[in-house]
Amino acid sequence: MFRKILYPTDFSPSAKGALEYIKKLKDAGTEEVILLHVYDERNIEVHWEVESELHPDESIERAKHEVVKKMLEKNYAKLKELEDEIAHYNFKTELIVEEGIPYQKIIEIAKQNDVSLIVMGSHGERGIVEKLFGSTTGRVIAHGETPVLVTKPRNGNNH
Amino acid sequence: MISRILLPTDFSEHSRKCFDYIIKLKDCGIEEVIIMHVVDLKIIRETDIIFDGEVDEDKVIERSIKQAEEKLKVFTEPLAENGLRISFLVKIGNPCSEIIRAADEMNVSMIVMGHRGHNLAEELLLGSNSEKVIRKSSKPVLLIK
Repeated sequence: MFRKILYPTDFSPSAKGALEYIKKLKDAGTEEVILLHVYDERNIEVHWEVESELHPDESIERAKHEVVKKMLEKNYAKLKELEDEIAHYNFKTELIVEEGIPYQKIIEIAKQNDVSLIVMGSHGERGIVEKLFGSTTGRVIAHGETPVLVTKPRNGNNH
Repeated sequence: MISRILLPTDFSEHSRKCFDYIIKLKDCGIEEVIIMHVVDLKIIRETDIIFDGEVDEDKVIERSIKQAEEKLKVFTEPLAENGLRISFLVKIGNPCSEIIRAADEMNVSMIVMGHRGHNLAEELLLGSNSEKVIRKSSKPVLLIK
């Protein structure tokens, strides 16, 4: 019931708070934790322009590819830090970084890996995309089939 | 720590699904499970309209509360059998607001709720109760599908 947890993170404080709950769930039988970061493909448009200014000779595709590669590498390193943080709880861990639309990838990976529970913060970094289309957490709840533990900031404010 | 849990229920199968999760969470240090039912005032008012004001609202409320208390006891027997300390709470009003308020007042560590699937029209018009609780409450919510 709590055996395999999917922990999607955008590295926001809200997501960090959710990690604390995974530690607590050890006693409820959690054995395995998948740490997931989805690089929001909709951000590429912004980033590749910067990249192409830095390297004006490169093609658009090449610039975009470079951005994604850099982001995935950087975020994998960040996931690794989080993995270290829970290391002494002796969970079996797996790290996944992917590009895509976060809520869709989260639901897809939860299904593929047959996870028992998704643990995530109530609100992550809110870019312009999220303001327009609603939060990733809200959409995972509305469209996914896996139970979700939604955590809140410790000071109890609900913004 | 996860020491006190609030389980709001409408006596549906969806909320019965939460029992197994709560029993598992027992090992995380749960000391008390508060099982709550909210008598929806709006529905009682609607009944009143149907019967053209011939119904004594106070009496209907009183009877609904009594029924809910009895139902809660029977409904939650599986939890009691597992050695969890259980208390009951029946409120009258708007379910979402009452759940959010009770969670704060009783300082629970977590709200556990069943989540009904809903169709797009409902989603656009109302959003589900559980989604509202998640948005507005300051407490973590475990949503069971």
